[in-house]
Amino acid sequence: MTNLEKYNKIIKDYLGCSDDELNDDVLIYNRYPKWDSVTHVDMVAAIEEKFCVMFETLDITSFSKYSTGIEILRRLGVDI
Amino acid sequence: MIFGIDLIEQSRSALRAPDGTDFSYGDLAGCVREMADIIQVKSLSFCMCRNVPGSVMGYLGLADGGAAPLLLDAGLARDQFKNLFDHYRPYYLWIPEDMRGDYQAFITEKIYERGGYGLYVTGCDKTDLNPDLAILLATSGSTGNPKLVRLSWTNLESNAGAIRDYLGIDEKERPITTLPMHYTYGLSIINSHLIAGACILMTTVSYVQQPFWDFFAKEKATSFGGVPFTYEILNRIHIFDKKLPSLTTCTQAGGKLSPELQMKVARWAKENGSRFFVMYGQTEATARMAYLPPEDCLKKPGSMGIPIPGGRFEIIDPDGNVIEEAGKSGELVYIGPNVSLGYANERGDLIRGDDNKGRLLTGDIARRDEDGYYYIVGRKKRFLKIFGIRVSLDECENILKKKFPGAVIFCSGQDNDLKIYSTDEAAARDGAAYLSDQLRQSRRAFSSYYISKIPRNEYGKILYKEFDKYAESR
Repeated sequence: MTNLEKYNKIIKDYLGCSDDELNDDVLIYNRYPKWDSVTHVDMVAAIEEKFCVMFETLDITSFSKYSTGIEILRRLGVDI
Repeated sequence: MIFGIDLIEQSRSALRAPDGTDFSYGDLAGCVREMADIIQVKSLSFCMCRNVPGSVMGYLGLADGGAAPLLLDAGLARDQFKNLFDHYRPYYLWIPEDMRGDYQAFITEKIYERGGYGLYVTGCDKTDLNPDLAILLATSGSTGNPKLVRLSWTNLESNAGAIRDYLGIDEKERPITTLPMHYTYGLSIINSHLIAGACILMTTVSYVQQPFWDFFAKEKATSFGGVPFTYEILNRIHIFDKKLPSLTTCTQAGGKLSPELQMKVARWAKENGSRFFVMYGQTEATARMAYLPPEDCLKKPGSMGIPIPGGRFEIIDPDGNVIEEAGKSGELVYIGPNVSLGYANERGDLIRGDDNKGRLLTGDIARRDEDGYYYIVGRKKRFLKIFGIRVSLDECENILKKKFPGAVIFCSGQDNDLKIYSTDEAAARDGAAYLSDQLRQSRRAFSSYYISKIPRNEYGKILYKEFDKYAESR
């Protein structure tokens, strides 16, 4: 599985979304029904564990749509 | 005028939002006067709340104008809203203009607008209201249960005043909203700061998102409140590793924090130069009944403190006799001017007067220590809390039984962990997802299980504690 596939799998598992919903028009914090604060922190924890990284407060609070998670991982040195 | 807002320096900021909206106390008083003129028929209203200035202005105007608003979440599930609407048939609706389309079936003429909200007449007939009735709050924020708490002017003003006094709130305070306004604790923060002439920072953005913290920093927020869930999330986003220089006070109510987290927050607050208050309350007492002074927080872990100014507690045994002895537990009774008038279960109850007469059986089991500090040790009824919101297990069962007709369904569990058991395959499979949707609470707090039989004792009494022995995941 590529890193992007791993990332997508976590997103789909936590938000219960489909493959064609994996984009910034659909997956927006608080707009996508399942993306609430609890799911948010659970999802961040799952991403941290999978990629062995640590999100700072600013990373967690900036993660507001599908692509920002990928950008944060890149910044933390993940090849994705 | 409500909370004396017309007597506060009228140029002072009262409500401020991230988009730059800023309403002064003069604006608030003006809006309240205008609404009082427009509300010719004194009858029930629904105020659909959001953490925006327009929502607060409508609440104040409706209450002061004699249209006794029931405060509800603007995002309330459609079915639950319709149930409540059909049950109480309000005369007025105060709704966000951007949701007008959603309420089209319930409204006729618009008679006023302010702060992005509109006041609409519904076409329902007039309801007779008791003159002491100021506002109504739902006992359960999200299940659409028609059981309401009736609050009087005295309730609102005495509780807001007591909170202002023990927290020492003055006009320099700038609380930021972290809790919904239709929730008793969220509302009490608004009320206690309005009565003090402070400026409330209103945002609909969650504290897990950066725009919240940008607004916090820009406006130099001085306080926030949170239920245990709020503090758990703040902990998980590492807020308690940071400095929040403008923060002077944080408060916690709506259930017990884990002792470890309470210690962590107390130490962090001390380091940050802030005061941390653990508090206790219920909707039935307007909001607040007790608080733990911050200097006692590290000395009295697990305690919810001492009664608020003007209130007192009794602990009673099952026969109703007062237990004077320290250390012995019994049902907690609160006596004070903020004890609600009573409940309403139907429209006709809105004319009722003071049923409680200033004395509230809290349903909580508590004990008092030698120094006069109180501790909650359990609950009498079948309730649990999902992230600070009280949920009746009986109600959850009713919601599920409607969805899965004929199914045998039981709910149990503990705070933030509601378990559904059913002998019906579909309910065992989909029950948790359905209930979390209906209650608009995170799916994480719900689980459902299939059971082949309902465990009962020899008298037919259901043995809730035995359920897990028979449960299978579906």
